[in-house]
Amino acid sequence: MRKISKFLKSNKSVRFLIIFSFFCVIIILFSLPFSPSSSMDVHADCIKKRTTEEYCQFICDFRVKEYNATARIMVVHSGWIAIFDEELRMESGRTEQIEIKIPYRGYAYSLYGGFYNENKYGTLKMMLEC
Amino acid sequence: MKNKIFSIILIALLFIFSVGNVLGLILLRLVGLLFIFFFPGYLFTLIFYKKLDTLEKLIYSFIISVSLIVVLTLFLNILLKIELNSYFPIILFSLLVFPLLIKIKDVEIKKPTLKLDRLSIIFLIYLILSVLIKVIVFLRVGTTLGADVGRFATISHIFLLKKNIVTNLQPYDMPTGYFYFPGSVVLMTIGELIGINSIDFITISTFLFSTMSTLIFYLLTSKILTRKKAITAFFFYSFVLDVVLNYAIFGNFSYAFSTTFFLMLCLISFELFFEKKERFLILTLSIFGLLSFHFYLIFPIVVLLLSLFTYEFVNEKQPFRKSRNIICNYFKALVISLILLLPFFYLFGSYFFLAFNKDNMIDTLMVSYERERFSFDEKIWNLFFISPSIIPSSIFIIAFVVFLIQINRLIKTKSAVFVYFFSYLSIQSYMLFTNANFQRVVTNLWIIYAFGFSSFFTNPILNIAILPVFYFVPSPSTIYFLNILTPVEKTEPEILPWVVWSEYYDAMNFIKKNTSENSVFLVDGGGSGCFGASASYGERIFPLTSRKVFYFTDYCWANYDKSDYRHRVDIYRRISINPNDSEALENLKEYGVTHVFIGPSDVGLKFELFSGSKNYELVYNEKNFKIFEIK
Repeated sequence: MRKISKFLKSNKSVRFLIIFSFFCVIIILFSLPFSPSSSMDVHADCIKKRTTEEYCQFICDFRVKEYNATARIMVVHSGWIAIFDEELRMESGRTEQIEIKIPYRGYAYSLYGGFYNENKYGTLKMMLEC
Repeated sequence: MKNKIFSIILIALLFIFSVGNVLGLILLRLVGLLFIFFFPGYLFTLIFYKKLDTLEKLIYSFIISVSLIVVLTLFLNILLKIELNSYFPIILFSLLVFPLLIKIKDVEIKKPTLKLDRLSIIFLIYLILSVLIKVIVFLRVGTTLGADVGRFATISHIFLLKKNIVTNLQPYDMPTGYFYFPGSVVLMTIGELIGINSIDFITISTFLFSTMSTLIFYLLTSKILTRKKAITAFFFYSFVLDVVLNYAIFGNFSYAFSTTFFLMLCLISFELFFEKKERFLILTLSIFGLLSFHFYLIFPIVVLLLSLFTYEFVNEKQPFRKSRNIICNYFKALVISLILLLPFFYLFGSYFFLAFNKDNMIDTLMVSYERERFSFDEKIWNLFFISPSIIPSSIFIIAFVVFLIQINRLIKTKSAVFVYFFSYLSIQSYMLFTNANFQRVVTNLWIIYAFGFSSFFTNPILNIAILPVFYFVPSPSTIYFLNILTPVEKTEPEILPWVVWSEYYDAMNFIKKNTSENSVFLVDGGGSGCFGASASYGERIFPLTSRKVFYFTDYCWANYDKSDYRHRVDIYRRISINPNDSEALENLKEYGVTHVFIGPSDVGLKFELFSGSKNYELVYNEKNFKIFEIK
């Protein structure tokens, strides 16, 4: 023990390596709970059914592969302004279909899907041109 | 000297009572600003920190004043139920300064001494130039930009109208409860009480916090570097790498203001660690300030402390002696800060965990959709070389390289603390990368970048000569902002506009003068959770005119009726498709909506569709702003 203590006292590099590794582990452990990630396997498919001078009509299918989940489907413009926002109850493996009608502007809207249950999250994004 | 101070403060307080004409109003605002940002802290320094030099006194006065204003407002309003009316600032300022004025009668006050040697002159030139450029930037953009400004200003304006700090924002907005950082809203309410609207107050605060943070940065680097090098570091920090300005000007002002307290804590920790200066009061108020403006800066504080502990363990013969002292001081200060925050937690505590609700967590993940899918290379690129306003810059690359090549030398000196800080913060930022909110901590690496530049570029004339280069090179520099933050007729609808048009304020004046106080405006935008803001700043109608806005609910962590929210989104969508949709129009009327506000960057609400309709009357049409009254 005394030898180890003496060795440590005389060797800065080793001291650095020990404390640096220890604190790195602390930082990683401390940060983990604040970094949720999407691990739910989710799918979406949107088809433009109709375009008029006023609007575009999309039919969108959503599916979660292995879990029951709650889904929030949002269409946004200008980065984050919601113009469509719906909640869906998803059953494992079953496809849910919704109709999305958005104003015709010659613009690429973004569709976001957020899926969650007790333990997992899933996200998706696609563009809806209208 | 002390009689003079007493007289000045007394006269200043009398001014607040004697407001009447325009000049009186201007004086009220100026005096009010001095009370919010300077006087209380200054008196504190006269009693508790007599040995400070002029620059330290200025910084301490600012930090202490802001923290005390927030603390006392929370206690007076939440616990003692004193209403936030026009008398509140007088009660607040009197309680803050008179006990201190009585106490300072026995204090000997030294006249400030100013030694103007060559380095001081260079420092002053840098300071004046950087402040001047900041002023020009603000004159050009009008106000602090971004979405957060609208939502915080809305809350603080509701406090003003309800005369209380409240959790229920109805009937002015949808949330019945929410959790936000108290300093960010309380300070703005005090601003409104001295006659400055919350959006202008945020802009003034942005300027002050940014300037103060650069001065704190200078003092911080002075603890490690020679004066000449510290001035060089200050040059790069204030002109190019000003974290506070970069976050605040694009809307994240709450996080930015908290960063000022973070820098102050760095300074205090360095003094405690290297100079054994125990300044417990300012440590406590800085922790309180940090927590009351934004909690996320706790992450880099932890990193800072670990860096100091690493330095001690590697270099000192008795490891952990100083570290123990720091932990002890921080622990005591944290406990007292939390006690000072008790009134806030008493009111808002039950909403603290809203952020961890599944639907709010998924909201944050949706915002981070692209970031989550970045490859390792893209993550590294984003972490080290891109600013929060998504400006990739060669200056970051140069700074990064310049710092790396010095590591071998720095590690042998006190500067090793910065090397450890850089390493730990890089790891932490990488770990938090997918969390769009937490990963902001990475910008604290800029402190190191500016520090790294200090060993090169030490020629002041050459430095001033390279300033024009910053105008053209993409970077987070205030000088580059002069180039890009220019008013344009129509911005790309992909992003929020980078200006607030002067014509916008003409429209606000029209609303104030020509619409009933009960008017409700449909604006182009809003949203739930972390999404939502109007591309033409429609949400700012409420804090600027007190007229309600239909559908704007942009609160990450709030309780509100989600089915009602979705119904509102649906009405907005149907009106955007066809403004004459009779059912949607009827729905709007049921919500009391009387007007439609259309700005230059709007995507949903289109002027051409409303114009000529028998259901709407065009009542305002100046430049790019249109207002329709619903018939």
